[in-house]
Amino acid sequence: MTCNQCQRQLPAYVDGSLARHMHNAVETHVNACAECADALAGERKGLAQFAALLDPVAQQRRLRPAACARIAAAGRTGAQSTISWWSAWRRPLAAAAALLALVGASSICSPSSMRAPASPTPCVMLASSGSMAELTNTLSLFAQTACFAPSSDTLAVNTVHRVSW
Amino acid sequence: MNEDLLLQRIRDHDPTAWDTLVELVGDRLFRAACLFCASESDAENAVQETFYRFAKTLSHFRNDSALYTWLYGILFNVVRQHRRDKSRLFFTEDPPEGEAVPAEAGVALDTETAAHALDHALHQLTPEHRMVLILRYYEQLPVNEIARQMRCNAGTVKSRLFHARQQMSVLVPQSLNPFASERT
Repeated sequence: MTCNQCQRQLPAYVDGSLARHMHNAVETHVNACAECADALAGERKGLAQFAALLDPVAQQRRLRPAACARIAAAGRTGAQSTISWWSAWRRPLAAAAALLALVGASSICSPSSMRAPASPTPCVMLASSGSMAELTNTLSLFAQTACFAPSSDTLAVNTVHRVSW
Repeated sequence: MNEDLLLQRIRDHDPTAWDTLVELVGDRLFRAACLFCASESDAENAVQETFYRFAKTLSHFRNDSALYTWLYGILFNVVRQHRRDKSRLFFTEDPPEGEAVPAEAGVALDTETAAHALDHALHQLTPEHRMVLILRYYEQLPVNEIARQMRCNAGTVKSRLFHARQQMSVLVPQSLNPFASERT
């Protein structure tokens, strides 16, 4: 092991996070090399003294009152923006859900669906379909039915509306 | 003040709770930010962004870690992101404010000189080298934890620490170098 390789491992050596064979290699090298022994002492000294050495400058740093107010306001704004997401979308989402329910109900009760009794109504089938494969099958079956049904135009329009919602 | 109580007040939308939180941890976060950032105005902006993000992710905070540790993690991400994307509007390139603080009477000259020399040298390092030094020797984090925070591998951290210490030995006089062994 070279001095360069040994000194790169010193922080992890001090942490005790080196693999056993690497730990032993570093220990052996440090015991035999004065330069790396000094580097190890420097690593330990840095850990012990660095923060204390910087503190006289660091402790003088304080947030200005104006900055404190600005930072607190940023926190309040962030909290409000999280809340306002739901408040902003609550009404449109409720309206969309109501409209969807209305369209679904109208497609069940519409005369066109009554004229095609051979197949279940699209919304019922869509609602009861559990997976994407089932949904695809349902749609293709419905498209075929719609093509051959007497009121295919009306049904096709209904389908487009449902899918586009 | 009890952190849990303060968090509850924040969750209850008490308008004064944020001021209390800033009083509690603001200066400490600002000091950490000053070590990472080039100027005090950048550091203020970083702390502001930290509080904003904390407010937005408050629901994810589960009291598993101390509040300061959680905020420090956010601050570190803010600084890292700033380094990646300097075009963010909230960071200005203003000259440093209040950098030259007069030495307090009664403080030993050696301590003051060493602190300023060390701080000055830190800010001459590249951001990557500055970050690893601060996380290692100021925040006392182990190599693996630094790697996790900086999202790089432990080998990279070891290499950066090695080079950062070498640069510090050039930038700081031997007598003030915190990494200089007593024997040298």
